Amino acid sequence: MPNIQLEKVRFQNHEKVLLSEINLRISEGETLFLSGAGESGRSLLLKIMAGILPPSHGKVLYDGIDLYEAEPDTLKTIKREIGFSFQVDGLLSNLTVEENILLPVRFFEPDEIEVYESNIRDLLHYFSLSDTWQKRPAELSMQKKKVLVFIRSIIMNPKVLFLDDPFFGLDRYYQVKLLEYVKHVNQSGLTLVIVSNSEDLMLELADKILYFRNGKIERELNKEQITQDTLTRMGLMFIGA
Amino acid sequence: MIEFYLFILETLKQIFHFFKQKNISFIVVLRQIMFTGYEALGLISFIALAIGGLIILEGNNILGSLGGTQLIYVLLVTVVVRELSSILTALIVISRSGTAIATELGNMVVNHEIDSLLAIGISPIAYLVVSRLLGVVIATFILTIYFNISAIVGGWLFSTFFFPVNFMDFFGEFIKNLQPADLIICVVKPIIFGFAIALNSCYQGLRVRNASTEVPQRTIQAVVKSIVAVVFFDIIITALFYLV
Repeated sequence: MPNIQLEKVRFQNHEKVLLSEINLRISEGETLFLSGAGESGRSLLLKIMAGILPPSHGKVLYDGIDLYEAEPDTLKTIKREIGFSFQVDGLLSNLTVEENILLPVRFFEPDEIEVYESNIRDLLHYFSLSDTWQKRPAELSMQKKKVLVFIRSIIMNPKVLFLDDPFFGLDRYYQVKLLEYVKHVNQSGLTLVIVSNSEDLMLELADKILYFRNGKIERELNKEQITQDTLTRMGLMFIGA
Repeated sequence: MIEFYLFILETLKQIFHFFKQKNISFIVVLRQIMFTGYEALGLISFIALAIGGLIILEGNNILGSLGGTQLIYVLLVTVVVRELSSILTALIVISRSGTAIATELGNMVVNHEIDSLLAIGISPIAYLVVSRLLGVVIATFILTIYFNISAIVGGWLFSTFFFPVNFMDFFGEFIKNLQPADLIICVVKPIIFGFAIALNSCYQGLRVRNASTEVPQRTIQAVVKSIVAVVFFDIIITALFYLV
């Protein structure tokens, strides 16, 4: 499983610095939360870590290999081990749900489609989404689309899973189902990086929490420091403020 | 402008990656050929039949009075094969597929669908641009050939009003007047036009940044720039063939 390391990662849009000098190391099997107010740079950092958005400066290293300088074949090998679930959107609108979810399978394991198909059907059943298989994204509610993107992100059994605000827009039913499933896959030693302010999720899963403000890591909580009281206090400092 | 050239270079580079990810991209090429080519056949048939017929009508009127009815075949080759088939097909492809590509890609940017591909590890250029490029080039080429055939049929249908001639004789005379250069032009132009249309349309679509209001603006740009590029290359190719 890859060790992820960020070296002096900075991101700026024209003159505005949105992330500054982020240094970070994520160990195998660790569950890291990125927390903070909206537009504090958390989701941006998640995209940079997952190879979606190149930083303006700095490096994202997977086992020492720079994600943004990697050769196409090496990049494909790294990406095979990464799953990413978006806060909103993420399905290709001109494809059916089947085509969307099978897209990574067709890309990485074209000869194993039947094997994965049965996994997908189980997952769709678990999330009560079996009837969506032949539908287009436009026919589905936002929360169903979000859960389907989650299914797509885990279907290749990734070793690193990035979740951008996984509870956002989900009702209680899907929140419970999702949490149960994430806890289940987390037992297999998955490395999880989650953007969320949900105290429930943090209490259940977090090994480490980073609090962001204005594109900088302002505070770090280790497993031993994560209690309901600390989370409430931090929440008031970094999110409610 | 430099950005556009870099985009072209990146697209050409990514043609190799297209074959590496053909499992997912090949279907996009087929869909593009289906939309750009197959679904445009009705419109192309109508225009080509009419153009072939009109050339015979007008040509017979002028050349008949000069006693040069045989020159009608030369006229058909020069006007249809060398010029109109490729340029009219290109304009139809721009109006149908160029606009559709720019709109679709623009909306994909706004809906973060490009990020979705990047998250999986799929190159958006290889998956979205190269697939469309190949689809549009192949479809434009086939449509141009189809335009020529339909125009000849249209020409023959209209010519039967003036002088009874069976199709094989009409077609034989037409072939006799066809030069190798005409055939080369007929092959080269649609390929170049296909490239110009697909690249301009994809580039403009992907230039959309944040708002859906940018999509129609970029679509207009795609149409304008594709028309300019097609006319520009038409002049260059025709001039080269007449000069060489």
